[in-house]
Amino acid sequence: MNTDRLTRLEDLTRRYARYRPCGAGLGVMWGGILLAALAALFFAWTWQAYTAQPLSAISLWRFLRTSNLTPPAWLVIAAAVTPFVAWAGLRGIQAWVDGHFGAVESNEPCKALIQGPHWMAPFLVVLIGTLLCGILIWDEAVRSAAVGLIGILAIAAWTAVWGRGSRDRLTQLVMLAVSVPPMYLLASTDAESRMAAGNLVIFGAYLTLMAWLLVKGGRRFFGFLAVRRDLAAIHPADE
Amino acid sequence: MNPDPLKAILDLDRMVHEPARLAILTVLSAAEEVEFLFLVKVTGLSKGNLSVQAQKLEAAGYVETRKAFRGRVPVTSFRITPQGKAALLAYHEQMRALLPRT
Repeated sequence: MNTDRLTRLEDLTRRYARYRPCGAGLGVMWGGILLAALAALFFAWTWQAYTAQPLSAISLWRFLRTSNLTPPAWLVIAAAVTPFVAWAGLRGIQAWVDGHFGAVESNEPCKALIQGPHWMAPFLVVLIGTLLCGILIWDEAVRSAAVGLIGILAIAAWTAVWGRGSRDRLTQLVMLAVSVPPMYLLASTDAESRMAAGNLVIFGAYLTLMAWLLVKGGRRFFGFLAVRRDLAAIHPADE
Repeated sequence: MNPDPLKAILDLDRMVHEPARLAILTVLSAAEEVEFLFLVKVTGLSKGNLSVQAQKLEAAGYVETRKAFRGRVPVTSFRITPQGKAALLAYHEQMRALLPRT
C-alpha cells in the first residue's frame, strides 16, 4: 500500500472528524431558527403591548423600561421548551448525518487556551441561571415568579445533559445561545422585575452571537461537503 | 538502507503489513473512535472483508470494538489500542528503514 494513500486516509479521517459535529454545521441553522422564532414571539408580544397602551407619544424603549410587563403563558412555555427542543433537534440532525457516513470522534487536542475549556458554555448557563434564581429569591418573587423559577432551574439542569453529550464547542455555543435568553425571559415573570427592555437587548446580543455562529457553521458545512465529495471518490479496494 | 533487508522484511509485523489491516489501523490512528460505516466508506473495503480484518486486529489486541444502538440501528465502533498504536509506529519505522532514501 503506498504512503500517499495512507496519508490521504489519515487526512480524510481527521477532516471528517473535525467537520462532522453539530450536524456538520447544520445544527447552527436549527439553533438560529429557534432563537429567531423566540425573539420574534417576544418582539410581537412587546409590540402588541406597546400599541395597545393609550400613551402614543412614549417611545417603545421608554415604554418597555417603565412598564411592569410580564410575559403571557404561551411565551413562557415557548421560552421554557426552547433549549430542550434545540438539543433534541441537534441530536436528530447529528444522527441523520452519522446515518449516512458514520460517526468519527476526533482525537485532536482542543485549543483550550484560545476558546476556553469544553465545560465553559454549560458553566456559563448554570452561572446565569443561578444568578437569576438568586435575584428572584432575593426580590421575594418566589411565589409570583414560581413558574419562571422552575423553568430556569430546568434549563440550568438541562446543561448536565448537553454539556456531557457533546464536547464540540460549536454545539455548546449554540446551546448557550438558545438557553440564556429564555432564562431571562422566564425571570421576567416577576412583575416587579421590569426586564422587558433588558430582554430586548439580551435577544439582540444573542442573535448577534448566533449570526457569528452561523458563519462558523457555514464554514463547517462546506468543509464537510468537500470531505463528502472526497469520500464519494474513493474506489473499492482490491480484495 | 538496512544491513540485512531480507531479515528486516521477515521481521515485519504481518498483522499490520496486510493492506486492508494497515488501512484500518491508519484510519483508527487518526481518530479517537470510528464507526464501522465510516471505515467501509473511507477504506473502500467490503463490509464482509472489513469485519474479518477487524476481528483479526481485535484478536491481536490492536483494536477495541464497542457495540451500541443509534435508535434501533446497531452501530459498531472501533478504536485503536495503545498496543495497536505501538505496532503501527514500529511498522512505519521498519518500512522507513527498508525503503531507500530519495
